[in-house]
Amino acid sequence: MTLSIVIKSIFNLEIGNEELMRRYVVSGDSALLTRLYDNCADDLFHYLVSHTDRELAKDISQKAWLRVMDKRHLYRSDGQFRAWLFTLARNLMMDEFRRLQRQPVSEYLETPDTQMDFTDSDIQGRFDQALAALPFLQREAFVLQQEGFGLQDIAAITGEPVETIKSRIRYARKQLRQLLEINHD
Amino acid sequence: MTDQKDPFASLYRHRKHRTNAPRQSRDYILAKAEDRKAGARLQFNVWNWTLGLSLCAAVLLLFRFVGDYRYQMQRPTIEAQTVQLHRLNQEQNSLLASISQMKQQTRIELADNYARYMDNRELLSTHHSNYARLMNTEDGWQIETCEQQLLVLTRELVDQMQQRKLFEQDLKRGDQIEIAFDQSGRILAIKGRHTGQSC
Repeated sequence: MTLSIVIKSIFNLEIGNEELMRRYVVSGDSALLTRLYDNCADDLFHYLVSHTDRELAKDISQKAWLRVMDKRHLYRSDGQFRAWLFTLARNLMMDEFRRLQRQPVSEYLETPDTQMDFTDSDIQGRFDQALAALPFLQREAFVLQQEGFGLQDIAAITGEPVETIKSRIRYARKQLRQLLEINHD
Repeated sequence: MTDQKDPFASLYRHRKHRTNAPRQSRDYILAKAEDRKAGARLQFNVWNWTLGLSLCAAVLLLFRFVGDYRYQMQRPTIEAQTVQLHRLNQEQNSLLASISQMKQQTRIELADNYARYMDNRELLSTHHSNYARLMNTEDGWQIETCEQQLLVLTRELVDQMQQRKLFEQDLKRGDQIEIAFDQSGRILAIKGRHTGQSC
């Protein structure tokens, strides 16, 4: 075990995103950005595509990565790179919503249509439909939690208090259970 | 959060697995990164050159400033720009006296040289004289020495020597004469020889 750790450290096989980003900030080496992109691009794209259509998600994702290049000097080395990346992408997404006059609806005013036709017999398909049916902010909190962010990180990304995030996640999970009729013991 | 605690984790993971970032986005982003790196390298080079040239110019200016400063420090300060002559007349008198003294000195030296010349001339005439006989006095002189050498003096030369009183006036054909020569063989004087043996 120790030997494998030493070998991996020698060949830099397990450099974290934060270390990659620190090196990229210093050198601007595109190879480092490539590794960061390969590590995080799918997560970011899935987050975006969960909140908007595929084309817009693609545009916002590209803009977010360009902003990583442009604003790399603003990256704080003590923070999590993915949280910083998601924050940039979320801000861009909100700007796009504002430009398109598409406002995310307040979480408590918007309730999913319980009469939705979940005809898909496959549980995966029903989950996709249920997730899409969630209010924007609840869906966002839920997706970010599923992406592995802690409550503090989600609060930082969304700019909301931790308690609000907790509430959104709780409502999201409750409604998903209702929509999927999962028996929660 | 494990799947046992979170019934949505597995569903979410499967959903995510079906959604990947577009390949062309990756190519686009990486191409942009390469472009920006090349641009940054160019800017860096331009900046480096500019900085280097500026530093060279600054160093040259510094050297020049330091050199000028040291030159100013080492150059003696000229306190008076005007020189006033308060004794011009006296200086002129002194100059005239000096010239007069030099003339007097030159005159004395010339007199000394002339006296020395005359002494040498007398010495030479004493030691470089030949006995001869005046053979002919018409249209120049012909003189035959005791060594059987014939000496011919042109009329012009005889006239000039007579003007300079280098001849005795009463010399006539057939007289025994004594000729004085200088070191160069030039005739200094011719005078009659009334005593002693003839050639």
